[in-house]
Amino acid sequence: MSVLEIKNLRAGYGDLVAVSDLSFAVQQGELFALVGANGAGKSTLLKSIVGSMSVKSGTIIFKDDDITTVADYKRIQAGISLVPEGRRLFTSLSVEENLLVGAATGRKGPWNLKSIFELLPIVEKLKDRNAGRLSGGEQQAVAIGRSLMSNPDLILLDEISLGLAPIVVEQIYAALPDIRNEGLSIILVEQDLSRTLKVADKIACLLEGHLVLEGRPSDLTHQQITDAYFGHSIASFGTSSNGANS
Amino acid sequence: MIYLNSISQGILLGGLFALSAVGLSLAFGVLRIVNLAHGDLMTLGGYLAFITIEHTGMSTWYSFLIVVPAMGVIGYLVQRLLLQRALRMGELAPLMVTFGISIIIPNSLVQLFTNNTEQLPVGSLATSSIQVNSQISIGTFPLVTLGISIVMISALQQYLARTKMGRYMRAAADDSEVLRLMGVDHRRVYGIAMGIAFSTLAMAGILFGMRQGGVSPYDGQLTVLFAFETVIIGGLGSLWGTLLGGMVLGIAQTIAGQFSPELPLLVGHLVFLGVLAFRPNGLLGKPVLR
Repeated sequence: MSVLEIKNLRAGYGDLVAVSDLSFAVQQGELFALVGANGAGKSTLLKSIVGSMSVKSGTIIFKDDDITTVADYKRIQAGISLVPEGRRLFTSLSVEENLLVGAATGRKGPWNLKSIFELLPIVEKLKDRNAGRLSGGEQQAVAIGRSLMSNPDLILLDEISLGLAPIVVEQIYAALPDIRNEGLSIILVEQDLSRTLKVADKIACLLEGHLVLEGRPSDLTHQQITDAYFGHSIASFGTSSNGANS
Repeated sequence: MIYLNSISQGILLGGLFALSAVGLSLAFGVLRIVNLAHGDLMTLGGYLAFITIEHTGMSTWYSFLIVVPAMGVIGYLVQRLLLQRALRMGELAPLMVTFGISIIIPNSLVQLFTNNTEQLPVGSLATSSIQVNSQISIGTFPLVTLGISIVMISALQQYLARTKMGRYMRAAADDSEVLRLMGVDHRRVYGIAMGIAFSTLAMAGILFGMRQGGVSPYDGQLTVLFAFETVIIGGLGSLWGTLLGGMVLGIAQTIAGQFSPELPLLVGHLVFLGVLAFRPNGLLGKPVLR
């Protein structure tokens, strides 16, 4: 069952088209990785999904509802959540207050302060600290916890390893299986190919706003992926007519 | 001893300045809107109190119960129907809207009430005072005004720190786009923040009118200046800083008044310029990193 379906999406800034004719689907409980070089359109795609950016054409279906023109905050209330690039915590609030703002939708589910603290013990230690005084890794852990607090059905993780020490990235990736155990679908945007291939159920590669490769990591060769990533050749692997993997 | 008396009078006056500046600080802190109509809206609050008194016969103090909530509703509607649309057009548009409001209010008041001062009676508090010693006496009304200011600032501080909506307001001040991505309708948060700002400025407007013996249409041109100076002296984003800023401005004005009746405004402005020059973030404000 698809949680999210993107059909023929076209989006961008002004006259600039950042993603074009994009179609794919994310299944329930799936970890769908989006990879691509800088400027490939990954962040534009995420912004289009959460509604921070209006699309030029195409359709976004979330849990069978067309949300293409729905306001951003209503999409979050419906069950989408974003961990934004650069974390973007509320720096004048404490860590615990950041988490409580994350629970603003009031959606019921497995995630609350207690379960977030169990998943990310570092967050509990920091709960009274001002969010503006955290290291990058600590901020990322809080940002993930804050997004989970809305008990989403789909969480979008935008460049969660960017600028972080490798050991911190390891700890954050180690938490992903526990997050998935709750039946959550994940769209993971990453530039780190090797790490992404280890955790993803499905991988899609964007190049200059186009989907150039999609498939299960086990079905793809490393050469195919790097070629698609860097644009050496355009490949299509195991995709059906609507863009979803068959 | 005469300066001690001036300082105590200045502290009392500062409470009123602080109350008048709280709404300005909140509107700028949460919505990033510089409300040029702040002083004229205070005047409007004073006139609404006058109308209430005239039509019901109640005392000025009871008029707070009607005017303050009414101005809160007006603030919410102005934000949702006018300023929210202007915010979409960039930073300059809300400034122009508030400038427009600042033209409309006094001119409308002149048309409706003439340029005369309309009375806002204080009652027996107007003349009563507490005699500390032979040279220092504290007026009961200014003392009540200071008390109201401290209670209001404390209540607002607690509201922002402890309630869900207060958290959303502080979060909106940090990053309103991310607040929306938490599933919060920022327009509602902005509307409530502006409603609170209008309520506090209405209280300040009535108290200013009571202190001066009444309200007249162009009072706002001076009170907006005091409010801006108070916020800048105290430091943006700090409610207690606003109280301190009001007291510094009040003390500067009352001490200057000891030398000449023409000096208070000038010295107040000089103190404001001095703070801008040497502590641009204000006495208790934090450096702005943007």
